Amino acid sequence: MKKVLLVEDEAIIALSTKKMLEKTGLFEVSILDNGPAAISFLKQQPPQIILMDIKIVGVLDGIETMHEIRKFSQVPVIYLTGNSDPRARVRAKATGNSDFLTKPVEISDLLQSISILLDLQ
Amino acid sequence: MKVILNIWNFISSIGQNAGILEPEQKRLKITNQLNFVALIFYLIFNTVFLVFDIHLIQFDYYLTGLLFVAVFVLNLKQKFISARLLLCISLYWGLVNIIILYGKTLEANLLLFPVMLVPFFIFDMTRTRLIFAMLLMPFLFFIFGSLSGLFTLEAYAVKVDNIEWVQRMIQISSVIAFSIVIYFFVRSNQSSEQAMESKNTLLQQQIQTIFENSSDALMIIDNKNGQISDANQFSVELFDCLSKDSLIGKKVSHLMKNKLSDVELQSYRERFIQEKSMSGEVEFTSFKGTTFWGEVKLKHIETKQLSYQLVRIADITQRKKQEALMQDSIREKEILIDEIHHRVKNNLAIVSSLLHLQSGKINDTGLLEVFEESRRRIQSIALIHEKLYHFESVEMIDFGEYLESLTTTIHAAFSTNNSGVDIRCNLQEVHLKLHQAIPCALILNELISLLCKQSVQKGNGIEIRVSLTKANAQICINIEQNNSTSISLNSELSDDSLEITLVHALVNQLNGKFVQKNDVGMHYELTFEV
Repeated sequence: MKKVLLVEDEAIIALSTKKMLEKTGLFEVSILDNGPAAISFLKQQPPQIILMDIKIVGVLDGIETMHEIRKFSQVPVIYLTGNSDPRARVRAKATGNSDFLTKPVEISDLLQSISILLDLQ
Repeated sequence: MKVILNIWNFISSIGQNAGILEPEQKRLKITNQLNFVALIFYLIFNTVFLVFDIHLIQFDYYLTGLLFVAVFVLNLKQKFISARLLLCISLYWGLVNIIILYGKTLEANLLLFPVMLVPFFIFDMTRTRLIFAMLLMPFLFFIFGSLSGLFTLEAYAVKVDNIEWVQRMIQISSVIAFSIVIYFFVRSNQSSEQAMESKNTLLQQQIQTIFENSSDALMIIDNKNGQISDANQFSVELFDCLSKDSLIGKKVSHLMKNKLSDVELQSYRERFIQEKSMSGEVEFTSFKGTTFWGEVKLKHIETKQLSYQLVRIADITQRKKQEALMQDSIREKEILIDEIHHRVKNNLAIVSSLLHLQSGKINDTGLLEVFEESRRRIQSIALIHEKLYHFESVEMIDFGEYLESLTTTIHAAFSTNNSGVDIRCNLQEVHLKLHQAIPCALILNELISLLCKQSVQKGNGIEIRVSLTKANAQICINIEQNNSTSISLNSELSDDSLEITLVHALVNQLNGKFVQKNDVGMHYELTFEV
């Protein structure tokens, strides 16, 4: 079972994504809804992959949170966003070891992306 | 007296009309007046000859009289140049006759001078060749006369009994003619000089008034030292100084808020030398320390005597403020639109997630398929909002690009079952508004999904071709099963299916036309006007 940290402030989307992944029997998903909590979580229980929403509540957005995480961890990240804004894509890519998917996310796309990133590890 | 004045005015106005320019009208008037004076002289002479029974060269004299009348006729017919040439010829011919009569060339030559002045003010001074030809004519007459010996009293065998009286009359008429011509000449010169002078003065006053009262700051810069040599009242007000003396002697670059480096100044100078003019928006500092924005236009002006630069500075501070406000407002609206798109797409993602969560509790495959279909419908709308977010217009999307993404999404949804579904697209770049894009997207989602679903159900591979074309305002979308596919799908929409209900409702919404054929393979055609 691979540990996944899902940072998503929309509870329904978070729950649906968690169910989607856990149904495969391959993942154990933890959900958080803001950047600072994700940073603390990562320091204590580092996951094998992060699913990060870009627009999240709080002082840090998804990309800013990843910049903070990158200071101590190179864990792969898949950004999930409502709209694939090209500027956001550029900013996200700069954090490294990442992929980018737009919501609503299809399980096939998500599994493919996770597989590619974990294979690179 | 009044009658004489009326006659004089009538004669002066022969041939005048509104279409003639002012200088030409003056020349026409002088031509008529001189011709009239010459005609009067001619009549007086002829009367004297009759009274004193002088049988002079009468044929020549009658001919000259006719020529004077012909001048008026030509002017009346608007043949002005011909009339002027004829006047000169008539005057010279009349002069020749007088010289013959007088018998003494020295006094008679007095008449030559006023007559020779005539061409100078009846012709346009730019017609130098014509004037020269007219001046040459009397000399040609004399050369011809001298060589032929024709211009003598003896040659004409004229009998003159009271020649002394006639000679006195000619002396008097010479003086009168000379006075008249000189009068015309002086008046013409004086009036044109006065007119020129008053025009120049008026022009100078007008230029000075425009310069001083311009609603832009105007400055004149000496090319030798680059310093301001004159400035208008608005410059004084704009730079908040006491008088123009505060500006005179300063350089415009010294008035700028951000001082230019020597390299920048040199670069601007070189550009100005090449282009002879420059313009730009510059922030200045007034003498009281306040700053303002100016639209600066610099123009190099070169005259015979002077070489200078004219600088115009328009105060655009308010415009700059408004532009900044407008930019802020546009930025705010862009953020708002982005946020709305994001919210719409996020909400659609929530609805899709809810359906997914709900479907997790269902074991019935038929019912699960219903949930999946609903999710795909939501996905197709969500995709529209994603494309809108990227496109520069807030209400148009590139539907070709959208269709490419939609087919990829549908293909991904059906390719998990190893169905062998292959979708090939041939899509033009077509821009659709949101109110047409959403129903069209839903129709295509229904049709492509239906073909894929049937292919999966039959467990065979299928190739679907999707084409999008636009001719004038007509959009045509074709979805067809490849003829070479071994299976034949019966994908005709039955009347009671949800798909047909949705497709027909959406085609009606588009005011379009939908045709389905099932020959070798299924073929759907959707057409509508944009």
